Amino acid sequence: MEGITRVKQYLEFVRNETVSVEEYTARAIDESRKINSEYNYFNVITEQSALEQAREIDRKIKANKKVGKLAGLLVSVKDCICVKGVESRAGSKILDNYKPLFDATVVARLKKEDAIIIGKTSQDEFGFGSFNANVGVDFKIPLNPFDKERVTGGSSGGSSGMTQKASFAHVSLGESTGGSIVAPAAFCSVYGLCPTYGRVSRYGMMDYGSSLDKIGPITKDLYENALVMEVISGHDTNESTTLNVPNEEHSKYLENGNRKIRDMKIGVVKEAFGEGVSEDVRNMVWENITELQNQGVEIEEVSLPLTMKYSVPTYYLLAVSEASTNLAMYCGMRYGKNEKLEGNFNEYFSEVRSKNFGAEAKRRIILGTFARMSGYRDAYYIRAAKVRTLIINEYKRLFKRFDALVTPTMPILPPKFSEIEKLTPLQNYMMDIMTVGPNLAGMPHLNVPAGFENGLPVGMLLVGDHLQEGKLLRLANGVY
Amino acid sequence: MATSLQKNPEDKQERPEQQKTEAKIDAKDKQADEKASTVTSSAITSTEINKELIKHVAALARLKLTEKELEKFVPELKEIINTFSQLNEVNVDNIEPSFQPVELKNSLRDDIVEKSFTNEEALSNSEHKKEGYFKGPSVL
Repeated sequence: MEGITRVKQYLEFVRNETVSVEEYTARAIDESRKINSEYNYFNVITEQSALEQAREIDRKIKANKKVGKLAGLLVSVKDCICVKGVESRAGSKILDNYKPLFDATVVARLKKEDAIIIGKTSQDEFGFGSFNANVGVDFKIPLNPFDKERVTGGSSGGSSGMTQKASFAHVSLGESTGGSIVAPAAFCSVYGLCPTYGRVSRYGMMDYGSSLDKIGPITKDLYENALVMEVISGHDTNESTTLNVPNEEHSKYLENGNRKIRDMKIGVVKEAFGEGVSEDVRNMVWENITELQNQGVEIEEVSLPLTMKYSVPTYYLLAVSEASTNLAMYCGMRYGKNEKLEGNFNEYFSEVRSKNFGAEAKRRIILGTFARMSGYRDAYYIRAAKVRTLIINEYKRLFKRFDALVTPTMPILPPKFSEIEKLTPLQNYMMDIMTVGPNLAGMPHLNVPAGFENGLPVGMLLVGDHLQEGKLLRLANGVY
Repeated sequence: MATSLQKNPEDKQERPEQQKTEAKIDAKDKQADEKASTVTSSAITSTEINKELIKHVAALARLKLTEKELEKFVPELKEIINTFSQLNEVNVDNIEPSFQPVELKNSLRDDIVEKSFTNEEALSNSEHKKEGYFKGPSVL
């Protein structure tokens, strides 16, 4: 829109009154609606409240009042993150009509800096998917911005697709449990940063796996990503698992003084370039690694034998166990979809849940309930938690010697819907082979758009040690 | 019982730590519990994942599956659980489980009453309410 496509320039124009936030927002909403009618990236577009926010910011600027550092920024938010007064469903019919009475901490922090929320983005139901094809009952599946016959990747598919497709300055908030930020970012060719576990508050987020969930920015460029990170990060008294560490100015990592990366060392995970990984993907990621090498980064081949072999079962056993407890709260009583009050409580709850959860949600609830059942709990849930310890240790050992590890983000190019229909649930889960490791270990990871093969995007995954998001931003900045 | 949106009294039966006691809610559950507890600490064999077991697990999770769903889910879950049993290959002797990926310290705030939702607000997302309370299904 009028050439203002990037956030940095737009925010400057807002501040010096070159652009009217209200007009810009109105046109952005129009465009969002058009894109949505074709690609299904939104579950809700919040035209009215966005325009109200925009007018308020224009007023403040005209009156020379102080505005926040994100004044006028247009933000879309994954459906599982609560926005006060806006229907928030985590992509599930069981939360129909639920209008939160409060903002999630991340949303409150964005609004405090005068960012504008334009809508809730589509996702796999409660985050249960790698392709965003597992949407809830009566929801629409988002389509890949480069080819409508292909998937966006999931579960933050709406956030990633919209970030790629929007011609206006825009960022999105995604959420990851086992790869749901970087996987769709790879398939839609945008930057997706999944922060260290505990770096960003989960307060006001609909839980999937509480020991795994993270909220993070999905953006078209790195500066935008860093800018959002520095606003949403930080300790939160409402969320006891947030880390009490000093806040960082993430955008500083992208300044000229930090451009030199020749002192850095990365490990190329050899198992991630083997069997089952498409040759197109392998070659494209290697080209990017070579580029880093040309910049003076030291490269060494490393191995993550335990992680690459066992992280998928470990992740799924823990994630579904946690999910099955978290989803127990949805029973048609205090919020969300309800039915006619009939039968005893068991019959009523079963009726509501059976009608309104989608197939994958049911599958994961059953699997998680099974893995925690007495008699099976030690063999599945507890054993997986022990293997998780070994996986964390495997990463920790490598991070003593390396600044980051590199793999492809997804083992394949974005597949067609007709191709994924043939996959069994287990084959679906296997697609997460690159991403579940860092998620289990709580390590920050960033999808870097690596290039295109036959018009389809490839993503490179950079994984860092706890709290080392800055190193990932610096390395990604060095690729181009 | 206008409860906080964050806490959910009726999800007790699902909490991992309470699984054992809660599985004994009724006689039917108890029977299955005793049957299951004979398979302690080891993975189960493929033959044990059958329609009856999946039906029972679904009922514990308050899900009623149709015949069609059962026919689809049983082989799928069998494949998943069998494959996931490969974790048995990993030696986890003397390894502590990780329930968090990072080290977390207890994070407590001062015990001071803060502003919370009014009764009306807390009830605003439900259609089933009466005289300032949530109205639930009958217990019996």
